[in-house]
Amino acid sequence: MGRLFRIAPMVLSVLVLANVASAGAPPKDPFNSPMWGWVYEEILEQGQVIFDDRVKVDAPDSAEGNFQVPVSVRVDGLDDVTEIILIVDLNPILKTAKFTPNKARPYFALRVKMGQASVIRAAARTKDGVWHLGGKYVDASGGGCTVPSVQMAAADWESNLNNVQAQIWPRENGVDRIRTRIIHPMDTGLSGNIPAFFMEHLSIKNAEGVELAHLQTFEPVSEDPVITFEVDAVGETGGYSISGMDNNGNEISAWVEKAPKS
Amino acid sequence: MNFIKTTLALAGGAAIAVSSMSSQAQAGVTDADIANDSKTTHQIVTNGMGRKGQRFSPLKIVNKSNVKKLLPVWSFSFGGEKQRGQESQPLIYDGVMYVTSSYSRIFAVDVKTGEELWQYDARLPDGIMPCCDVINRGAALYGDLVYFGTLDAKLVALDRKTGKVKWKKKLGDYKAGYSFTAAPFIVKGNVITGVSGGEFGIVGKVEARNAETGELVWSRPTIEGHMGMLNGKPSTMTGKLNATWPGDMWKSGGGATWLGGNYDDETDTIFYGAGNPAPWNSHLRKGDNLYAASRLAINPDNGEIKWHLQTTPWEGWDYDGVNEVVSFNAGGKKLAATADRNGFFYVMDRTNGKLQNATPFVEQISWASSIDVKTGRPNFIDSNRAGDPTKSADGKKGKAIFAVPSFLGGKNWMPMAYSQNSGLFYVPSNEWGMDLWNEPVTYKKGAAYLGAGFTIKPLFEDYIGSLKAIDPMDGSIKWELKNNAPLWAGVMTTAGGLVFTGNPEGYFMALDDATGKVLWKFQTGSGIVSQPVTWEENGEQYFAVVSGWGGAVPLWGGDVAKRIKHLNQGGSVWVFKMPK
Repeated sequence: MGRLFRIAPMVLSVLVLANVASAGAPPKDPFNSPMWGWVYEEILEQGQVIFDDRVKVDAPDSAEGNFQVPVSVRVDGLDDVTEIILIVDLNPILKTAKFTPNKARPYFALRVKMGQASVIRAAARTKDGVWHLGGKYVDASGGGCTVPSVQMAAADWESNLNNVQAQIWPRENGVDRIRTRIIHPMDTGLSGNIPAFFMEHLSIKNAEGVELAHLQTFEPVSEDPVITFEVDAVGETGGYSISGMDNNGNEISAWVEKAPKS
Repeated sequence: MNFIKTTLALAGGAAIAVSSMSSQAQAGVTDADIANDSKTTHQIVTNGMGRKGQRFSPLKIVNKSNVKKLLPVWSFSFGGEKQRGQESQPLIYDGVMYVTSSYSRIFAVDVKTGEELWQYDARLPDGIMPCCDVINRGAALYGDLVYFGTLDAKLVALDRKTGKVKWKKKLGDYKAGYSFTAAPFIVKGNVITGVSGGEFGIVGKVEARNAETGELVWSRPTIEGHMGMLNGKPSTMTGKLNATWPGDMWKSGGGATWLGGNYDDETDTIFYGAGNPAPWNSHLRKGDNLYAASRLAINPDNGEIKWHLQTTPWEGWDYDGVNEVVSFNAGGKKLAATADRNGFFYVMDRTNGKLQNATPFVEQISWASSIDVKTGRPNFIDSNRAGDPTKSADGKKGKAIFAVPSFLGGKNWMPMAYSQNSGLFYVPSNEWGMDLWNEPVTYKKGAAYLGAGFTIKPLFEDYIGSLKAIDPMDGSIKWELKNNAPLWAGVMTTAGGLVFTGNPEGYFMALDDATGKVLWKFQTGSGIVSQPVTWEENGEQYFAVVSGWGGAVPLWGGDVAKRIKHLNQGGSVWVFKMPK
């Protein structure tokens, strides 16, 4: 596992150095990550960056399992967040998810695979184009990205593929918290002779088909993704559609209804 | 310099915006591109190098006098440990080669450099049931999409530039034995497909889907009694219920449309073949069993059958009727030819299916003495039908016979070519027979539905494969090239007087179209069971062929195994041209 990793940052840091003169040095990274230069160039495209406490990444201090590390991102006190990108600096594939909070709170939670100890960071972009960055350092032992999924070994994986479980928890602040689990192997393509096979996007829509939240997902999202959104509540009753597609073109489609108040 | 680049990029962006706003965007491969593919030399956008499936190129930059100079330009590996039979025909468009491979994969490769642009790997369920290796025979291009079928019976439409999925539709239930490995094709804005699975008692069908959305437009089952569909509603029944099928046997009657079809614009007809009736044991289904073992002429607008030619009525030897129908014009007539599994070469009037002639193209045919040109029916040799097991002493095994051709056919899937240069057909055939006997069987979803046992045997000590040049006017054989192993590759011919094909021994070969003499050959490192192509760029003629041994022969080969067991697997594309 380590080999692929260590080579990548070295090569890339050379690229960054070569570009320093024209691009201007990136602002100093409070996490001192060796991949920060690359993140700044390639993912944030050298935009204006502020390290901002209002962008909170919550994750365990130490990952108990590298295959399912829970991460949540909440932006508090920033208006007009147009997108949030989740990045695990020292994974072979850094970009993990891109969230578009159309009519949702600037919050989402999911689980990620970790190749080794790394900063997990969220970059929230506001309407003015500025990136607001928060992050957390998570200790981990390693190997999460180059191991085949559990489902790869199961003969009947196809019969449950893209099955959806979901539940809604109404909150007092006019928010419905929706948590969903999609059955999917989420193979990264980095394990020998197993091509990449992963969910590419997931949408929450209301009954009228209006998209409330959109999440683009990449290979490092954990097998059987468990994803949480907070959307403006549909009302006392009603529900939401959950839809998406994987990179093979297999569709995800489900409807989740609010439980009647008891 | 920077300034110029920026301007161009902006202009390009604007053009894209405009075309995507128009609903009839003609970006990418157009109907005209497809209609003119047989005459256009700088690209290949159809399977068959032209809709009629002639596999004839007007190019003659490379010809009999200089073909020996051909050298490889690049080779591209499909990689992985998934090296099985590679039966694909590459497509060439806009500087990109689109080529499919074993295990339902498709690759976009830079034609100049052989570098991969993208790759799509279908994640296949463990339960797929391909009868005859995990092959794929090619893709279709239309607009900005590229289409191909998968072993779990899905049709996938991908953005040709990125490889991202636009849509994916289910053609059948893979758990019931359906799969799809043929190259789809485009007719009037629809993508046309069939299904494989005849060995599992599926029911064959030809279907048209809107190429942009994948929505079903029409569906035509190949077995009588089944209902067709048009625009979301039942249309007409195929044939007449129980006219040629006894009892309920039509419900799992086979007629798999596993080899793809083509389209003739002059008669506005889709030609598609239907496989053997199921099960193999013919005593369970007395009657002609329409439209199994037939060629169907289908109206592309509604999926109605215009006419049919059943090459083997009451089929009992696994003589599928799927082999390609190649349209050509000669003697002022609109004709079509097909070389059947049953060993006869048929030439018909393609406006009505009436036979012009039907002649044997392999040796020692045992099941019929001839074909009646008036009726189109074979003159059967009744003693060469395997016996009814219920009439045997223990009821478990009917009387065995030795029949020629074998169940793999005088000719199998590998497409022949028609030369406008020589007026001849170049037919890859095999000389073999089989011991065949019937057994009792009942239909069970997803289980093999044969009711027969068999073993294949070569007819001659020194060869099985035989590439033949056939004159369609009288069926006479002008020359023959013998090959030790069975031939399993398609053929292509050029105005340069050349015939190209490959053999399981790994050679990509160029032959003199008048004599069959091998003028050039190149060892590709694994067996060739695919479909070669040629095209032109900047005044140079290029050739491509996929190499990778496999297909049905090593799986079913019986005694034939002796001649092929030393052949190694592979999975690559080779591209050739003459050095400048």
